[in-house]
Amino acid sequence: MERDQILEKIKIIVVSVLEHDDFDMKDELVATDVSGWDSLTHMIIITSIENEFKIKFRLKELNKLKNMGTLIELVQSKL
Amino acid sequence: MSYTLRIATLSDINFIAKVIIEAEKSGSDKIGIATVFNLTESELQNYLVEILDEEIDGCEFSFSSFVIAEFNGQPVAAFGGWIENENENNQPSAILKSNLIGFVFPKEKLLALKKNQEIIKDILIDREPHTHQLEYAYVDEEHRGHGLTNRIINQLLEIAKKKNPNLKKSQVQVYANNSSAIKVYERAGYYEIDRKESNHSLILDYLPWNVKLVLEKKL
Repeated sequence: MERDQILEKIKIIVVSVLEHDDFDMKDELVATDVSGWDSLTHMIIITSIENEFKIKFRLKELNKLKNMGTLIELVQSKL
Repeated sequence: MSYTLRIATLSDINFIAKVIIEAEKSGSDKIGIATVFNLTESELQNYLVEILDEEIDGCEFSFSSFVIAEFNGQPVAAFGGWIENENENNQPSAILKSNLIGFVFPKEKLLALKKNQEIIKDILIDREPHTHQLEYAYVDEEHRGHGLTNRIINQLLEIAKKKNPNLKKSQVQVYANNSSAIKVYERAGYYEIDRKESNHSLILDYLPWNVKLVLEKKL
């Protein structure tokens, strides 16, 4: 799957969980920049991404994520 | 009575799981993590042991965060402390905790969170990066009144200052109705700097109280 397609699917998930699109979907995006992306919504977003792409993250992979760019790359590496 | 303080090890994870559950109750019968994820107390105990066994440092679900007080070789009290964002991957503790829960809890339990997060979200308080954070204090009933919490706090602060000599603040979040814990923290030099309140009609079905305070001590 192309990187742009992954990005678009993740964006749909984030917008659906947070119920707003008031963020710039760039590689440098971090959770603390996005209103409503807290410990609870983080869990829902990650689980929804696993369901959408039918993948399973390892704990160490999740803990190493720095920003949206690294999340997209991690998803891509599992497809 | 003579108590020994020591840093927790992997062999303490059953006791720490109990500490987390008792501290979550905060004197009530509501265990926040259990109600939000629709878990029984024994299911939560088992999942917490699995979470602690992952050995992730830097949050309230890290056994390495805890200092244990022992009496006659048995753990009788514990309290956790860590420096926010100062871990292997510089992650906020909230993200580490979320990743651990998301990794260990079954998917169907995470679905319960989707429904319940609206109820509790107003009372979540972000932790300040590069501050010392305390979480999950518990003392067995028969060992209360001996200043154990205060002794453990002092030890946690000593450990934290060794890790980061520039540490300026220590903070603890506590439900506003937990007056006995607040008194202990105030005696240890903590004072209120912030509070959050939820007016959601169901909040008291899920959490011990609807007002949470942040207390701080300058180091």
